[in-house]
Amino acid sequence: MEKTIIMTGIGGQGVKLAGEILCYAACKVDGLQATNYALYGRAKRGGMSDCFVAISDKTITAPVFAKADIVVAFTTETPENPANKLREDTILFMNTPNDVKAEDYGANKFVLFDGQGMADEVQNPKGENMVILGILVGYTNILPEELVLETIFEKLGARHPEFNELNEKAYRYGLEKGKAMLAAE
Amino acid sequence: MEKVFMKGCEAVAEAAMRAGCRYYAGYPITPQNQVPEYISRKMPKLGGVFMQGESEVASINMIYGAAVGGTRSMITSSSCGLSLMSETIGWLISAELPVVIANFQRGGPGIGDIGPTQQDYFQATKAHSNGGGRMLVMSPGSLQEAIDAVFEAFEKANKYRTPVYIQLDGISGGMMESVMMPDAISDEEVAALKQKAKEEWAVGKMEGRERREIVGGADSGLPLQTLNQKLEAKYLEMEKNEVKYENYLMEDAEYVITAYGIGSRFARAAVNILREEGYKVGMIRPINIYPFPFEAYDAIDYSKVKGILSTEMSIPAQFIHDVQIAVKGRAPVYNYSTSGGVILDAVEIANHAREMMK
Amino acid sequence: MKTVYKKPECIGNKKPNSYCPGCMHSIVVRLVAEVLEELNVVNSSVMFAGVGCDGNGAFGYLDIDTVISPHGRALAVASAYKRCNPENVVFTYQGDGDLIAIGCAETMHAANRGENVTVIFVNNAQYGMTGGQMAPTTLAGMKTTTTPYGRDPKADGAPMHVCEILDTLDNPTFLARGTCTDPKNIIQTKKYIKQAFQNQLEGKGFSLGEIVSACPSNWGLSPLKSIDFINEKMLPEYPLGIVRDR
Repeated sequence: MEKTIIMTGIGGQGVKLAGEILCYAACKVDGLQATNYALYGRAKRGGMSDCFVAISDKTITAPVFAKADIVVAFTTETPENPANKLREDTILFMNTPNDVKAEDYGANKFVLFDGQGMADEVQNPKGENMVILGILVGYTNILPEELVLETIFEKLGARHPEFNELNEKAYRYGLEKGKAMLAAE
Repeated sequence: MEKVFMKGCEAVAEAAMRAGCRYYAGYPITPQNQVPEYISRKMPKLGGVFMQGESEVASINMIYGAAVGGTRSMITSSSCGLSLMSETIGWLISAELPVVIANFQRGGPGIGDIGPTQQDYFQATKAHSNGGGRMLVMSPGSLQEAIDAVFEAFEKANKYRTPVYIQLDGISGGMMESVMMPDAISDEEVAALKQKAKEEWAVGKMEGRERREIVGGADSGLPLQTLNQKLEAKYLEMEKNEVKYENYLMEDAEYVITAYGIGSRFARAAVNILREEGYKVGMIRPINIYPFPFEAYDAIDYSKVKGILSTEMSIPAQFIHDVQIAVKGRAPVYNYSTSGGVILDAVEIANHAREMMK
Repeated sequence: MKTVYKKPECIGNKKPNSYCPGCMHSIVVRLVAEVLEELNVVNSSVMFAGVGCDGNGAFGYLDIDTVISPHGRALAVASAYKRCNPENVVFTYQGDGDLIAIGCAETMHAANRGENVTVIFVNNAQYGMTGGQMAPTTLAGMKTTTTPYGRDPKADGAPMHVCEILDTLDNPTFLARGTCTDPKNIIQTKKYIKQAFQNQLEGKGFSLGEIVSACPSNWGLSPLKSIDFINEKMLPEYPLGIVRDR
């Protein structure tokens, strides 16, 4: 079963890193394959940043796609409207402190949260993308949650083990929120 | 073999060193900078040599210099960089030097853009240099195939004493994919390969043999026509042995989508979409683009197949010319192509296929 | 009877040289052959010739392994070869057009990397093989087939001094300029060539011997008049001697 995800945001938000962590984690699972392709604007920071993730138990066909099963918008301020990336059955994860509506994007499945606010709550203001990963995994159960955390430790903790604790807090907070939102539906 | 999740550029770099590459030269150009960066970190630990050339021109000539001594050598670049190397690529073909050249295509003509394309089809297959020389051109469709192609390319380069060209693209260079990375050949094997080259044709210690000369053209003992006849015999040998392609769901196909390299991934996804809708669509995918797999198109049952959609990331379309030659008018050939970093999309290909099938 | 002078073993056994009468390439190649024999490195030497009279004439004349390089690229080719085969003695044999016009970048950067190779650079102030066009080393006012009214330094550039240009870099080891106009200078030039090879054997790095040479055919002068031309016109522009010795 091929699962496709587009993570969309602006440069500097850790969009690419979040996508890579999912893929590294997927590769730890026997029989799973993953692709990841990041598209940037010319500006290193503040420009468009889209990350395409595909996870499958078979050889992945297209590594880049206009629309995906899951779209994760890291901000409402993406250069391209995330609505363009949605199919009828796409789940749109929208990270914003603002009160936006599913209808604004034509999304049939909509998960709204304030990642920055949540990161601030766990005293990890730079951990927004960890919160987002947590919510995504908690809500979709796309990969085993502990495996993703293990991968976060591996990829981020290698250089900065001092951030492991903070990253775990942010990720777990997102995870619980994601599960709770799913349960509330 | 180990399962790893790697970026295309780094996978090609790692595969090359595992396949025994002990010399790499290159010049920075997007989107393949991770190749020289990766190799510059690892090559010294293997006792090999990494050099950053002052230009693509210098870099390909460094490859020529390493190759004449029998060292397994590879160079990578992107599009305009390959144009700059063009003259020496002809020398490598003419001097029969076994090297591997990989192109991570970006836009063109001119400096184009850094976005991924398949805009160098003619350059790779028809005219990489003056004089009409040819070399084996592989076009992997996934990172696994790219890794396997690197290993195979070094072997074929050795077998035919020719440069082998791997036609990749900006997506393959920048994307990450889970792959099985083959084990490295041993240091002893690497040394033996060089030793064998030294015994057979490379320059170096002259003791116990006649002097050797290496030149990309006629040499003092070999008139040019004789050389070109010898090279042609080699091209014909490759045309006989190195045809490689994939048929996907072709058995009952009434329509065909044909694509190569990275483009074939989107084409395959489009075929899957159309099959789910009940359309009898298959795909022909050349894996080596020189020699071109004419036989794949000859094997089509033209009493059943009513149309062929050729799709690639190049405007103007280039691959389609070989498809048309192969199809020989036996079915209509349609084109859908993108360019300038606009990546093919499976849904769009499927839309164009439905148009064809109306 | 004692032999006091003979042809080096590694010269002209397969092919006679194809240089014009009065051309100094044949003397320079001979000096290289003598030096290789004296240093006992004939069998481990590889020559990387350029394209031009340097490549064509020397091609097959010296009985050692030879690689012809694409025009101007000899130092890129030789650099890589030497790095991969440090046990071999590596030298380039290049003319002025090859070394400092089309090959300017390769020359500058190989010198700047301090590659442990020897460069034999023959400067005859024009393109010999293609019929006498202007080179970077063509003298001001000198007539060539592409400067029919004489080289105008304001429009065509001024003569380039390779040793002095390379002397601005940190890494070259040895830069010297000789000529082959008379026995004294030939002996002196041989000393430079020998040192340029000796340095490589000692791992000292980039060593270049420039030889101010004649091209009687394209200069339109007799071999003897060509020697006068060198003495009167070339040497004031390209003074003989060691520019750097480290």
